[in-house]
Amino acid sequence: MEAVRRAPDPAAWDLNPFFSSFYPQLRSIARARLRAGRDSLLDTTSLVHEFYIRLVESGNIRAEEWPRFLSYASRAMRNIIVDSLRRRGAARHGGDLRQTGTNQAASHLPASGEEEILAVHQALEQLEAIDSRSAQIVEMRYFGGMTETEIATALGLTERTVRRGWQKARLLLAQALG
Amino acid sequence: MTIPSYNRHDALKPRDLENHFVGGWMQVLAIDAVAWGALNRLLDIALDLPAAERSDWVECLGPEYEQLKPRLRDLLQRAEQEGAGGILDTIPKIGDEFTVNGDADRAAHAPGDAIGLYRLERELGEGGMGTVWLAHRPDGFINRPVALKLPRGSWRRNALAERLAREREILAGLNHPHIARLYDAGLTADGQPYLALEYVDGLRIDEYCRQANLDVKGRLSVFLQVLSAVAYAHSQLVVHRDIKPSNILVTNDGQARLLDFGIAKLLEQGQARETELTELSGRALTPDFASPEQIAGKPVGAASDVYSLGVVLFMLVTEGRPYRLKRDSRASLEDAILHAEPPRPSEAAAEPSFRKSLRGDLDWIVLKSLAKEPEQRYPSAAALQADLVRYLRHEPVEAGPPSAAYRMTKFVRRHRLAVASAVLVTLALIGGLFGATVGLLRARAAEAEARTEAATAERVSAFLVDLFQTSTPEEAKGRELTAREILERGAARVHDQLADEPLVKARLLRTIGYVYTNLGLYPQAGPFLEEAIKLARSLGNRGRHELAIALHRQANLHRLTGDVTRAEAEFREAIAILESAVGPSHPDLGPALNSLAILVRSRDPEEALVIYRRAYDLLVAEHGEPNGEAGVVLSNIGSLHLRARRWREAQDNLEKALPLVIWFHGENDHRVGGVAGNLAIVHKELGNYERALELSRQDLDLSSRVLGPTHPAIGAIWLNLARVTARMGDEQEALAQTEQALEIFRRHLPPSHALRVTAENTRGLSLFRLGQRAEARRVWDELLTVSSESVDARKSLLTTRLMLAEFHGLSNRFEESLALARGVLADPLIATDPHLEAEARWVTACALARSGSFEEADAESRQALHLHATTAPTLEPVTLFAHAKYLACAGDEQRSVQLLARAVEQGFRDAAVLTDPAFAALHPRSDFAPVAAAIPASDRSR
Repeated sequence: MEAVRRAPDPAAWDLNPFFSSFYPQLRSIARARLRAGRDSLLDTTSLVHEFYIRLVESGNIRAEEWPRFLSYASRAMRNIIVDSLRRRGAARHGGDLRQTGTNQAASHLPASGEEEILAVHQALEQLEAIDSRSAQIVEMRYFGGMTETEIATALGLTERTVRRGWQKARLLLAQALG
Repeated sequence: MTIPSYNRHDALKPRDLENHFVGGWMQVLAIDAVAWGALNRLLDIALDLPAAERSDWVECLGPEYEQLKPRLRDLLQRAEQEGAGGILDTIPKIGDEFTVNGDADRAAHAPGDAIGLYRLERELGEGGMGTVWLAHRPDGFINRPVALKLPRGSWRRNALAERLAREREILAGLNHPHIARLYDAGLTADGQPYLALEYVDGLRIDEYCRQANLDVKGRLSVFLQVLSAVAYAHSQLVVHRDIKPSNILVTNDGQARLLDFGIAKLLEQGQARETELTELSGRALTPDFASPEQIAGKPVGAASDVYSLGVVLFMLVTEGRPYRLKRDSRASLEDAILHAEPPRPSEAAAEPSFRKSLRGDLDWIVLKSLAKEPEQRYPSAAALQADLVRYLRHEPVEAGPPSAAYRMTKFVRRHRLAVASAVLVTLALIGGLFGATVGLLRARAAEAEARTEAATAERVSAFLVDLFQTSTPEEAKGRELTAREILERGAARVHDQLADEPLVKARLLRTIGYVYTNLGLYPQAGPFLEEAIKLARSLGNRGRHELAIALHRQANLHRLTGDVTRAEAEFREAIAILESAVGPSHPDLGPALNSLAILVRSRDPEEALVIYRRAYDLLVAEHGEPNGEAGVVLSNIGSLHLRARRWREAQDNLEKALPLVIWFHGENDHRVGGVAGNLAIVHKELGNYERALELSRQDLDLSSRVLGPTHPAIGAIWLNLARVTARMGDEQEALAQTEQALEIFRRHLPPSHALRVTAENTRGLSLFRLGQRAEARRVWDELLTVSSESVDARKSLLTTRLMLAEFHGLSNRFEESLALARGVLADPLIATDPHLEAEARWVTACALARSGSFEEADAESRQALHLHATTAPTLEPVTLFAHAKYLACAGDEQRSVQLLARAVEQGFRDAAVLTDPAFAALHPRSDFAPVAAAIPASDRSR
């Protein structure tokens, strides 16, 4: 605790470099999220929570950094998920990357889930350009598995706004994805 | 049918719609910012309508929306179909074999597959860490079917193998009729670990009880079997850690079996560390049955199993869950497990006939099992078992209504977490009383007085402690005490018990008033403080110290409720007494000076600065440097500069204060939030909106945790947040945030309070900018009837008049506009605030110009410019902005745009140029485009 009590430079509140050292662990959470999928929105959130609690216990993070941690975690999880799906897709479809030919299990899976994720990602990139806040809400909700309350806290918005923003953006995305 | 109101959309009329649906890059969303902005707004309105009215509403939209209609219809149709949600709600599942690197994955198991010596028949289910299959051994070595447990996928197989190994080890040592037996465990040739367990052909315990239609006694007897199994495990130093109905099966003949020791743990010295659960090995704890210590990630012992057993028992006898959640989310469940008190089973039971048999002993047994603190529960399953058996034999049970002391602990814990102020204040109070004594001792070293002080303080604290410990019939009924009730009870007793101890009585009255004040219950606080002052005064010299402190508290209350005249007088009297009778080192003196300066600053900033400096010097002399209280004063000096719009000075002082305040008060202190909040305002004014937003959110998060979400200070933070949001161009959200602020203010503050007036002003402005002119006008008109003594409130009310004047001016009601603006200029307060005066002159100039009096208008505008020049050495973007607004109003669009372009060049990014109707005429101009482009992209979606 001593370290925390020293007078900090407000600039040190920018935590991204620190967070990024936890990227590998977030990657595990992202994988768990994909595995749990529609069965359980909550389980991933719980993993993020547990991870966070562990960070707090280890003295590596302060409780009030929770909101920022959430938005960072969502962004990281999106990157990881999309990145791995792309590699996987490339491997399966014999794309630009080398084809491994051994991924039998993957070919048994319905591709629609993967396609949906990649399409949402692509649509989000465009939504970011025209309405960055809605895009962030979608990112935290869809990729990060965060609750509306958490999103509202992290973005400093009212819960009503988050709910409505999610509702509208979801309609737009649903329309775009057919 | 609802007819759409066209006026409301005027401000967002989409332009050039034909061009918005070109193909190419927009292959997915096929929409651009302008079209989405318009669609977004239409959706906001439509989604608020009943579903049945939406399509008619769309049809009634004007021709300018023709292009958007098909899309809007489709979106609304989707909204209706979707109903309860579903699409995109969560990310799709990608399968067990998902691996990041695209490793080769194991195919899923299929019936007929051989696993070691076993052959799979059918899948029984899926657990957190693997699948379970019904299997048999073709070699006949085990004659019965077995449940074969297999880890899922290849992901972290090592960790899972470890788990299986542990389960095997633990189960190998457990031999009990109600624990599913372990037959075999091993690893296949290709590295697949497996575990062969007794196959239990049965129902989940809760389903079994329901289907067998068991009464309470019948349910208890089944549950007792489970208890004997867990008690046995505990005796072998094994904690199960995952007890839940799906792990308890009951066979046809009523035999219960406990399954799944997958996360069980051998106890070492009574406790097991919960680390595995956070090791991301694919298994998340089932939160519904988890104990508070599991949720909190603390070490768990046998009492944790007792808790989970308590939840199962609760469910068996009530058919419900112990926590009713407002929202079905993991976070709210965890919150409930940690903080909410479960209801008594007799009240929660669905079956009326159950309620009677539950009432009393069974209630207490269940609630004792569900106690938040492990040490309040039964120490082990055996103890719970014993008490249940006692109950069934009609013997007195161990469990009973919680003691008063225990309830107090709960009260403290709950409030420390929920509304920190209540208990922090209550506890700080006792400390504070002694603190004052020490201060006094140091100051005076007058033994006799010191002794009186010590005796009084002791008497007071004894009284407080007694207050918390005494039980009442209500407590026996299991109801919670609130902070208010404790205070009310204290108030009643002060009068009854302390009539002959006036000094103690005065101190307690003052204390109760102080706690009420800190709880934000201002109307309740007043009478106590008044009585304390009266009493202290009547004691003459003996009571002067108490008088000073009570006056200080009273002054603070009056400051908070906006009664500044009385507050100032009381502060001055308190300071005078402290200085003459106690000396400069009294701990109340610095804070009192600080508070006085806060009052004086709006009327006389220079005197305030002097007082602040004195407070600062006093504090530094008393406590050395660096020093937290001094940091607070420094931050107040910063906010004084902030109010004088000296942004750089404000920034300097605040940046210096922030680390000091954090250093001394800790990061979770509300003062940190305050400094961050002020710094946010500075950054907002300097155009650093992102930093401003970040600081405001930090302030909001921190302060609402410390003060509770409905404290008036939280309202002020919402208001600041709203202003940053508005600067960034999102008036809709700004309005929502302002309304959050108002909701809080209305509860605690009179209509004439400066904060309330300011918030109403802001609300009016947002409504105006959103095109809801009638609503805006109603807000402002209503404020015209308000009057106040407070300088701050009066200035805010002058601002109201200026907003209204501008509004009338833009609506071509020049007479009204001019009358209001001139009224403001005639107010004596205007002389103290050059910025307000400049503002008033700009509005006047605008009204004059629009009514054709150009010369007079020019004269006013020159005066305004002159006023700006006297307050700031350089031409600031704000000045350029104000001037540009005037020019736009006067019809000189070209020069207006030129000035805005200059402002933008200097870093000006206020989205008002896009949202304020005063600039609407500039928008179509081609030279306006670069100005609009300088406002961040996200803000232009509106």
